[in-house]
Amino acid sequence: MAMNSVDTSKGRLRGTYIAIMIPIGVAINYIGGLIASSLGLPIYLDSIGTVVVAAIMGPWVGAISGALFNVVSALIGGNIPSALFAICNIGSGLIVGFMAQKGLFKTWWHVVIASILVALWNAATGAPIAMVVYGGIDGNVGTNLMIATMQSIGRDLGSAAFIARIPTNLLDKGIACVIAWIVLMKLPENMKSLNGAKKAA
Amino acid sequence: MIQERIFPTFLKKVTPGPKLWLALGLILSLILVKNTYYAISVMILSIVVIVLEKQFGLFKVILVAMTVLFISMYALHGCIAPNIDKVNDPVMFTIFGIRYYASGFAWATKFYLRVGPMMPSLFVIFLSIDTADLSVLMCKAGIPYNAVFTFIDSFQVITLLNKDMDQIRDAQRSRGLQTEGSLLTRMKAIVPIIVPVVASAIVKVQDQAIAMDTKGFNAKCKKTVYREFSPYKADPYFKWAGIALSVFSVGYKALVSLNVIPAFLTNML
Amino acid sequence: MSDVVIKTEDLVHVYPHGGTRALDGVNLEINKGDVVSIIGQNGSGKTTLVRHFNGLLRPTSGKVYLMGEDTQQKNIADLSRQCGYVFQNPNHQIFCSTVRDELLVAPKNFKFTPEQAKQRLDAVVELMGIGNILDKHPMTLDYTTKKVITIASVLIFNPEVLILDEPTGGLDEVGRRMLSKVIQLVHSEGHTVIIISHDMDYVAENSSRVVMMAKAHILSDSTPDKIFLDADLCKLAQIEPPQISSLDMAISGRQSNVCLSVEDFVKRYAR
Repeated sequence: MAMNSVDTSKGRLRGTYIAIMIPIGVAINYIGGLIASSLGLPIYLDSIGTVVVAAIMGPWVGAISGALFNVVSALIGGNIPSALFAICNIGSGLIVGFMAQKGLFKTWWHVVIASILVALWNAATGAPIAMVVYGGIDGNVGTNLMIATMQSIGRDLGSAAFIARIPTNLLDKGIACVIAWIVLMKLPENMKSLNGAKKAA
Repeated sequence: MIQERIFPTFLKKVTPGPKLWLALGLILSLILVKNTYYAISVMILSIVVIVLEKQFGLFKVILVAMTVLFISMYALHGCIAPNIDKVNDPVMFTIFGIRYYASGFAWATKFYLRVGPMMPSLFVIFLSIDTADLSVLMCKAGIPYNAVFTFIDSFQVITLLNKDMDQIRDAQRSRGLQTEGSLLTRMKAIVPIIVPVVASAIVKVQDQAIAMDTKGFNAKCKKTVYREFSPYKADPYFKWAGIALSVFSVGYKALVSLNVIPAFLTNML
Repeated sequence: MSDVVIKTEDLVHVYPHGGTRALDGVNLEINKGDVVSIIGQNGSGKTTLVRHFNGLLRPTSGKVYLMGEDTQQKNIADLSRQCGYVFQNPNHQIFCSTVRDELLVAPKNFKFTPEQAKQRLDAVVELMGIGNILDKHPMTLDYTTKKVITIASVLIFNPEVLILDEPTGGLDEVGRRMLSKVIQLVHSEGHTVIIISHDMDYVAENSSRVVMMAKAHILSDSTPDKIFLDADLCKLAQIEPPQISSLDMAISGRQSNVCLSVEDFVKRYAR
């Protein structure tokens, strides 16, 4: 029996699939960050799991996986207020999940559009969250230097925090979306979509 | 929360419920009652407890994060915080022509002493909680089993995928993958490492789902809990300290917001 | 020294997390053309030892030489070009969409020319009999075939030393026979093969030399029949000799020249 003819993700096993895939998304986000730091890269790569799960299981499961990652990271690091950044990851999951559901996560152009939307969402929501949690300046050295530069030319902290996050998110989330798309490309057909919806790729 | 129970230290003997109450009390008190001396005391006491619990090795990663955050927040907020009045505010010092304002320092302190003490204190509390105990506590609190499983499984899967990642990285390096060198070389190493990590996780999903279902994961009946907590003499102290801190913090903040009492405890410089 | 491909001198390895002393002054020489099996209980230091040969692990103290050169002076990619390592779990290596792409990963990394890569690909495909699956997705294949592909993906760059970590784990009989054929061919071409295995039957049938390890030390380094004859040594290392050897010893009570395979046993007793 070919695996891709059995859509065991529907019906009563779907709940089990969700219960398994959400933690996998959380773990892939975490491992992505570890891979980036072990390779000495100046990016986080902590959204790959959210994007992969959203593309395979749908937007809401991806969003929950992304949010749970931020909650788990906050618990592990003890930095509870940082769990608010779950709002950023929820948006990332919803954007990619809905695009994938409509068959819009297949080509390079789709990935570029997804990256831009995800980056803008993360910048728009990350800036006010950083203001609430850290007063504007967090531990991200690259972003902080850009904020300082923009402040020195007259921008206020709020708008500087937003504008500074656009390029850093375009780079980080963009690379994460590209990598997630490549991962999905390399998966066999029966693993690419477990939600019975249109295949991600 | 992923730790081995080799040494039954003091914190590990305390049952999870009281520890979570204390964690809640600490979170609320640090966020709502902005007192410098209290925050610094929590930070110092937490680090002492971490050393006594023999977790300083694991804590080093958190310490680096705290230090980076400290340097970033104090270095930059002192110059560009939104509360700085560049005309009237006193300047603490000037370096290379850049002015460092006292109000910026206060702004950095306001936020750092909210997050900074939380990190070591919650780290040591959560590290001492066994995930199996936590899942039992969550089930007993009425949270649906599927949700509890999903939450707890996240911690387990991180450890498993971490081990897989090490094996995969070694396997790819054994086939000539370069993981050192220029930025481009290191970027190219991401896909050969992460694809097998993701694929090996997803390959197991279908079999795991069937295995879980055959063991009654989706059974509608109430789940039986076999694990019982052994109460420890310190439990009531943790619990009531946490409840007291929580009630006091919320009450204090409410009364200050309503102008019933002045903010006599808040003194973030 | 010129025939020695791998040499360790007082090799010590202590894992940083937990401080486990996995190797405690190991001295070993492996010659060109040897087919060496390294056996021992889990935690005896087998995998830790062989991971020093291609630089995946570095010595805490002591020296490791590959082809006469100190491994500490070279990076993993350069060492791996001469010392191929086939990992136990094939799922840990596969990441391409077709078997052909998977096989060509190492030649690309090692900068083979397209002609060299094609020549090696054709040779390995013929040797392993995988011509009919080159365009299939490796992750959809059964475990034995995936294992065959991972062995092929290392053989393709023709390393001087081939390390096989638990090669028979999960293999069916066809896979085991194919693996034996590969080992014989690689050995006949003058290459060195190092096998880590718990499968004593396979070790006895395919190795010319066995290194027995226990508790971070080498207990014994000899031919298979001498190793498996020593009951005290096997007990110390918690190793069970091959069944056919135990049967031969029980029947004949012999203290040397024990049977190591079913074929030997049949030849001896079927008169």
